[in-house]
Amino acid sequence: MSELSPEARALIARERERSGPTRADRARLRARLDPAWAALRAGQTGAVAATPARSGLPLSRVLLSAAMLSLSLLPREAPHPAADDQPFEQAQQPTAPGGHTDSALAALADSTAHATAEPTAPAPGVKAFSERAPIDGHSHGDAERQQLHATRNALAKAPALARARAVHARHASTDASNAPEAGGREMRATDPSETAATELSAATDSSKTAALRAAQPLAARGAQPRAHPATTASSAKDQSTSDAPSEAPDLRAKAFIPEAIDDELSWLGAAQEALRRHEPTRALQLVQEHAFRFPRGALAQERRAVQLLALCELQRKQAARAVLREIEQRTPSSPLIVGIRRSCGL
Amino acid sequence: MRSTALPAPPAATLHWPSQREDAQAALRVEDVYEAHFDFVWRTARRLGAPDLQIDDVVQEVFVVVQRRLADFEGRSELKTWLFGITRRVVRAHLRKNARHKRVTPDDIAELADLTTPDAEARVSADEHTRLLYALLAELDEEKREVFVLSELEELSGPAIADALDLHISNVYARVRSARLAFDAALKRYRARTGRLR
Repeated sequence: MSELSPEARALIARERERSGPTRADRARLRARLDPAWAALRAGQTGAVAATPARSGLPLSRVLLSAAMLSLSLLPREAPHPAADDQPFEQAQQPTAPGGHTDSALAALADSTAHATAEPTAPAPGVKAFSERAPIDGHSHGDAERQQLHATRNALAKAPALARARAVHARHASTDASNAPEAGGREMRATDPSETAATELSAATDSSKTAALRAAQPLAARGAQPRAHPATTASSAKDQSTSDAPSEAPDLRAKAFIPEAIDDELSWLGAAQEALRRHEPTRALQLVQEHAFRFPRGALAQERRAVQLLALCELQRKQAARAVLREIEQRTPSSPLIVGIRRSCGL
Repeated sequence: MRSTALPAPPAATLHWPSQREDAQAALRVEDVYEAHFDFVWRTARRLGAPDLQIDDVVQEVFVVVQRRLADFEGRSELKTWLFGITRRVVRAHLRKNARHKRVTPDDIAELADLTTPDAEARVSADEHTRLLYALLAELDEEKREVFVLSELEELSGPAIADALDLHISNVYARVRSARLAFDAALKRYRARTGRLR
């Protein structure tokens, strides 16, 4: 029997070491399954419907389980290949996104409502944002843009997490009030590999915190998503002209306020989820929103990819080609390029 | 010839516990989950379940497991039985994706899932693992399944034959062609990128 090449063997060995779910995955799925199992045991769909609010299980998932219970779609001998074409999906209701994305989207809706009512926070309506700020922070000055490009190029090949950390650290370092964090976790954005190493050592704590925060709707965290720095700065400017402060203006108020990475993940994650639910228009809206809120965000590369896929889904090939060109210029070695070209027929 | 009445059946039929009852007695879905969650998760990923759908797939597998556990007869290994269910659920998801999308789920999966609480960990997922999944996705379903069982799970030939309901000779032939296809996919990737990422 022919043997695999050594490269293939090495790849498989690496996957065996690294693949597999995390404890969080196990706990999350268990939390979803316990009510579903209980419902199946009880055979009462009505009883389950009351569980989601407490368990965090999305109602659609419970209904899916109930549907599977009520419809005998599986053969009695489950793994028999003769029945492989039996359509499982007939039992599947159109599933809602994951619970956390549900939360994110709900929070987005909430925050939209809040922001509309609250004049100090900008309404995240896409039209308004697209009028005020073009995607990807082209409103920045040339010097700032060059700095941004330099940083992006330097970090292009670092893992996304390291890039995220490094960019946020760079932003943090511009703020004089941001002292290095306890435990010597000072960021040096000029060396992403060092940053990555430092961050990996601290990943346990930060990921726990991020997991907790990401599990909460944005609205629950702080009523509304944070206002865009430009808006903050302009409102501060307005205030300074009207109130005429006696002290020198606090330059830090206009400085970039680093956003938490999990906020960025929430917005872009919601965009991905919209894409998965075949709502490309919604995905594009969320992408624009992300670009507005995080013009210098660490996940700009991922944002462009989502934007490109959404444009493909809408068959807007010309716009998609423009985004693809941008991706190719910034990250010519991205593995996304080949696949997306093929998928979109670009 | 004198006809004799049939003997009356014994009041209490002698009852030997069947394999099925043995298996049932020992199995609760919670125990199966604790013992085999990792296996189901890994298998689903390896068979091509997109990152964004992995929760749905695994949840569906264990809902099915609970429903079918009473029918598990213990004639095969629990692991191969679970593989059969996982394979069917993943296939169903992939077919659904193929029907409904212009953009493939793999395109989205390649972006790294940002919707889960541990998204930070996923963003920094090992690129080699992603490459392996991308190469597996290039194989057809039959080759991918046999490749996962033989090369990644390292099951024996008879166990694979049991899991896929194949004759043992077909298993070896399919493993051979799957290895060739995987190596070819890897070579194509290297030719495209000029490096092993």
